[in-house]
Amino acid sequence: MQSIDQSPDPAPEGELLRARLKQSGLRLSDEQLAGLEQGWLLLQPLLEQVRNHAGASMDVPGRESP
Amino acid sequence: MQEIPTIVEAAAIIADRRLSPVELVQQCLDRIEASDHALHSFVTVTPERALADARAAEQRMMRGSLRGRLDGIPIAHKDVIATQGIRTTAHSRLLETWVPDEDAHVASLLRQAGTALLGKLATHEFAWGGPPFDLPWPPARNPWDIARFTSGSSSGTAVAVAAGFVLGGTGTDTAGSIRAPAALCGLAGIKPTYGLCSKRGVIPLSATLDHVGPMAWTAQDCALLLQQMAGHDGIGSGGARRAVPDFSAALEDGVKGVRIGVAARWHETDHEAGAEVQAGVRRALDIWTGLGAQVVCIQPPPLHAYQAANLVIMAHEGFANHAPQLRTRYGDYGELLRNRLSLGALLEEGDYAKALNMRQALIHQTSEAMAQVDVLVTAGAAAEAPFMEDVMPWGDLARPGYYHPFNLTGWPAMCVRTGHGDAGLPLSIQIAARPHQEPLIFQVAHALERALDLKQFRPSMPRRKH
Repeated sequence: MQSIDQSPDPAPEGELLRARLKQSGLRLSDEQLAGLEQGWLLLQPLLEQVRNHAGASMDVPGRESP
Repeated sequence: MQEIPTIVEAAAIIADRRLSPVELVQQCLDRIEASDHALHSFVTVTPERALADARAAEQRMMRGSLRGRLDGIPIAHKDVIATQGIRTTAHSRLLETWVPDEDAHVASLLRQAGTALLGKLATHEFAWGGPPFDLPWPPARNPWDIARFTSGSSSGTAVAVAAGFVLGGTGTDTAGSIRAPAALCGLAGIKPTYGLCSKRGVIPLSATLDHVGPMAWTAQDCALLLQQMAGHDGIGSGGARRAVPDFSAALEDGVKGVRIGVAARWHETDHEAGAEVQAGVRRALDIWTGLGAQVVCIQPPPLHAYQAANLVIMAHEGFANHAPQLRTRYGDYGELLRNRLSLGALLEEGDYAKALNMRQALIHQTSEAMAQVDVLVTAGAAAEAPFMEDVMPWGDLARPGYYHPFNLTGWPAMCVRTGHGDAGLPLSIQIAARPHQEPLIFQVAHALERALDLKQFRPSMPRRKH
């Protein structure tokens, strides 16, 4: 839902997830976070497809992409 | 063992006054009492309401004023469909005691037709989290083998119909939740065109992908139920503003000249179905060809493209629906559902909009792939029902489903049985068509069911030990 500021040194995956969840108002225990991590990993190739799909372009014709 | 009639058969003998709706409902209640302790298809059984409905139908029968073919027919609703005065739980601790003030639109329509309501049926939590083992009610069990999975999320409806606890019921389908349990439990289930059935009073998961539809033993029975369930609700929560066609009108027309496109890549490559399933698809194609249909292979987009867009939209919209409760009652959700919903909180800005754009592109590409055919067919499920302990918690992410294309496009799609595998469990095929072509789907499905003649082949029921 929301992007977060990226620190110069990428945080470990678990910390990244925890930060994003916190931004959405969710505070998970370590055990709860562990339950989510496998799903997040499996979602990655699907997310890549969505982000790279030609039909998913958000470019406005006539303007340059950011 | 008592023979369990289809809706069409029961309607005929009620109309002839050879069977009282009260007797029919009592037979169903007796089956529930005898066997649902092992199958767990019901969250709430409503015997008093069912018998009151049946007595009213019986009086109409005696007066010769039956309301139609559904009058006195025993049904039940998936427990995400609101029912006035009857607890509606979504199979969740969060709604364990919620009693709605009014019926969902589809429940109201089925009530007006004179159906007898036997209760509320098990689902995966809020139609996405299952099979659940950490909730107040256990998951439903497959009546063909209680060690096996039903799929979901309309699991209770599939089990109750297959077991003869009801003759038909309602389901919802956001990523296959009508068609997958219909396939694994051996019945017929249709996800109609997006918006054909109103979603007013149906607990939402994903507004873009949610559909409401009927499940029953045969395609013909589904056509009768859909006839009553379809139509606008006067408010606009789905329910198309167009005349509802006669879904049974073409049932007996056969398939001569119908052009059937086989999406072979989906069940042979993208998610390779087992040999028995593929043999079932070929058997169906041979039958249709023998009846005069033309069969060709078509090339729609790959399954994983539909899966990707479907799951991103579902995660975003599901999280949006549940965020306030997740923030305050995270631990009250079952583990499977809260994990899935939380994925929506991890998406980046723009992912959802990109998935919606991808959806538009896939609708266009699907339409192009089907330009030369009337219906599309693929597998109904990849294999016989797996054992419950073998179900992967993230299975819908790990492998693309045959169902996603039609939630994403909103096109109607139906699963019907093609036979049984080595373990004796059902095999299934999926039939889809362009929007509002449900009559054609019923026509093609009915021709197959009639040729296969599996209607009398039901699971044998576990009995309560006294």
